[in-house]
Amino acid sequence: MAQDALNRWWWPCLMMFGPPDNISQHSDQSTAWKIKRFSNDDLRQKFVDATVPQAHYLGLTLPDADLKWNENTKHWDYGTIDWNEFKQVLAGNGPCNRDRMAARRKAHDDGAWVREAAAAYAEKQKARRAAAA
Amino acid sequence: MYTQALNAAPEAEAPFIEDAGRAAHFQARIDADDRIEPNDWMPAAYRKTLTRQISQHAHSEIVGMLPEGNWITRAPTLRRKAALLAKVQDECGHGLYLYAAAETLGTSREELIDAMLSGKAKYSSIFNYPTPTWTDIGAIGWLVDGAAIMNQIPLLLWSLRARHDPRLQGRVVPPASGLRDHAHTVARHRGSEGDGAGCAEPLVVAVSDDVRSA
Repeated sequence: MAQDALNRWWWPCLMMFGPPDNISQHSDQSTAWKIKRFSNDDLRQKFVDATVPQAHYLGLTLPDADLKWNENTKHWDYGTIDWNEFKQVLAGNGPCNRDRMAARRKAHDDGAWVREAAAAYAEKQKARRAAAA
Repeated sequence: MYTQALNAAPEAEAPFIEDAGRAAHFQARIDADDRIEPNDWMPAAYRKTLTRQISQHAHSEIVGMLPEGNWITRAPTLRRKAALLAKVQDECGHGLYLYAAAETLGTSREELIDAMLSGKAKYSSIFNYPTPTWTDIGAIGWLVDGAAIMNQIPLLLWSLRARHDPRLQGRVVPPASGLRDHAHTVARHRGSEGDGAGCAEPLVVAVSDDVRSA
């Protein structure tokens, strides 16, 4: 069960760090402004290096046949990320995009009366204060 | 605690003509590791970038409640249900703080939320994956939160600079600065070791809004 969950989440987690540095579009200005302190690939590598030993400790296998320790760089080398999947998910075609958006829109619509009530209450308080002044 | 480098294509727009002197002064402040406050003058593109990033992070916290919230009613024990409930509430709180932070840069919360609901603003791709089993909750806590922490720690460490706190000189961050040292957490929760992997090395985790006294 734990292995299945790891298999499901590993690659999507590597995608969380964003596109590889060679195609990243914002980095230069963000680096000059010090908004971005480390590149996407650097952070991704830190994550891989931190997580691989944890998986091994748990007796789990990372779902990447190309994963291997690189004695020269002292980092774990990992396989190719499916950037097409990442692009598809960002474009709204991931497994749950529609569900997530539908849930948020429903929550927002269902909460409309709360926002209206809060605004009406604020108006009423304002009118009372004006009348008292 | 979710953030993501989405690196979306910048919208094509005419370059802002801004006061060159102010822009140079601003960059000098950045170069000197000065802290920029919301009311300070800043280039419009800087404001826009931060508003986009902070609101994207906020949307991710709010949408991030959904995959985990999926298991609140089915958590295997009462203790785990309480823990998961607290975690999901945490994400909500993070989201609301972040909207408030984004608002200080001049965009209203309504605009930010509408941009997300209309699909114009993004949230982290990771929350578009399903949680079919209880084990996925563990995987999120381990991997998704781990990746998010990795994304945020550099920002956090740099924002708590020695200039602002002498205890941080040399970038050695004591727990007292508002960070939780994972080694302490492990010691505190030794009783529940059976629930998790333990941790081989001390790791600084959590941000300043997520601190509990020992």
